[in-house]
Amino acid sequence: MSECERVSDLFGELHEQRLDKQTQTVVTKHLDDCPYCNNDYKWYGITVKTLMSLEEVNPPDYLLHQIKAKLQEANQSESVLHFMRHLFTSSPYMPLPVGIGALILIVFVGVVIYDRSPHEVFSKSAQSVAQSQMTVPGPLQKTSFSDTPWYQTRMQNDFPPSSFISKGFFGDDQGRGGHLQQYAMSGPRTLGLDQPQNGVHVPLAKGTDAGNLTVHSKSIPVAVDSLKRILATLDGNLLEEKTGDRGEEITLGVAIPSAAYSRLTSELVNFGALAGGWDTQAPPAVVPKASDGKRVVLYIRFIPSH
Amino acid sequence: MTFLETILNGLCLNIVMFILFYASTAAENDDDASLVTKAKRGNRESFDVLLEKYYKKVYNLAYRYVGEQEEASDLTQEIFTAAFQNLRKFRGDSKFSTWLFQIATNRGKNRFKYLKRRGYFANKGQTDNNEDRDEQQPIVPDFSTNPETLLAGKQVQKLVQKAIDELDPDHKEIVILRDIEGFSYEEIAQLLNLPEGTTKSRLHRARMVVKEKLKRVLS
Repeated sequence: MSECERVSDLFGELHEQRLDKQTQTVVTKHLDDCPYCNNDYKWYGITVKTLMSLEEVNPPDYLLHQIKAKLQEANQSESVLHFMRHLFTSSPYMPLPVGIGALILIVFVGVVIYDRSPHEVFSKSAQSVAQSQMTVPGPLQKTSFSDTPWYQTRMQNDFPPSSFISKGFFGDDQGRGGHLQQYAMSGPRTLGLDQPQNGVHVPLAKGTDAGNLTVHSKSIPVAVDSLKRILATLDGNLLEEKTGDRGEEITLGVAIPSAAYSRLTSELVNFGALAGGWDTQAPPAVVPKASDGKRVVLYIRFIPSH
Repeated sequence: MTFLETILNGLCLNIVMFILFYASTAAENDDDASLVTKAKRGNRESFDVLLEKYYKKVYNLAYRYVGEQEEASDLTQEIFTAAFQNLRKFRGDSKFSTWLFQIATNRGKNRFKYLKRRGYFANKGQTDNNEDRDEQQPIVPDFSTNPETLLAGKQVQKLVQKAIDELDPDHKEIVILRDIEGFSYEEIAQLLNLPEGTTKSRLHRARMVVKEKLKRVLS
């Protein structure tokens, strides 16, 4: 590297007076002796001076308003985006544990809603009502079926429609004249979950002869399972399950909201469970109304059909 | 008044001036810090105050990068929008102005590269030459006899801007920051995330390139 090159490398420091005294003396001496470097250094000085003297450019008048408008626009979209982005992380909005708690709550509520129909979700708690008031339905009013034997009734009403073939709640193929052949109601009884009979707590199935409802089925376990499933959708609960002496019959004691009573019976009817065995001697009973908010106890006896 | 008194008076005056300067700088930084804190909490007016304080300087910086008013306005807008959107990321380790100009230099450099790739500066030079010809003025006045007169006149401003436009991005940003915008070496090192020594040597090389260009055109 020649001395001229070394000196030109020091132009910047010389111009800004950042050289130590000894180096400055050497560089200055070289500049005095070398006209090329001297001229070059002069141009270096002019360049720096020119660059520093560049006029300040005034921004256009509209610029400030334009930027403010743009920021306003960005602010609106940013606030929504930021909220969503930092919903569970940013302390001004929601700390992480609260966010997780909220998420769990949302999932829980979602599961509850998924499991129940909207009507049941928002209705009164059937459980608490069942504790306070319980009634037992009497036999169905004779308005729809009168004294006609079940097979004649089915023929007259053509119900369910002949085209209706499906898998029933009770697990059997359901169609016209399906396997659920008998639907019999006994007379009304006064039953209570915790009510003692003659001062003694008697198991419910013993307290009645389980004649409220009799269902014939080819496969009793499947039918029982199906009934338990439908109970859940009706907000009903199983009070007791009793196996008959020969092990073939099963009797279920269930409590359902009075509002669900007609639905349960109509489900049975829809899937061919309505049958004869109508107890014409039983005194007429009051069918629970949907709006009375009570719960009714029903005994369903499953017997094998052969 | 004795000589000693005169010296003491001068010294006191210097100290007072230094304290005043330091206090005003500190107050300015405190102002910025409090405005930034408010703006971070969602106070738009605070950010507007910062905008009004810095937009001219940012615009000038942007103008030096792109060399044209409309592009510079667009770039300034982009810089402030980016600053506003990223304000929450500003931790206050440096001054707000340093952080803002860091964004400005990054954006400016990127825009400059983008425009250069698209041949914007070549086309711009052509247009400028045509305009000069239309005005029937000599493109380059003869300054060889008195180079000091270089400092005056719009033509020279244009020439210098053209020379800057032709620099490579690394050289260009350092010339803009140091010689045009007047940042200290320390600030530039912070802005560009470079060691101070590198900053100085890079600036020297950039100046030498500009010098050669000016010398060639003006001699």
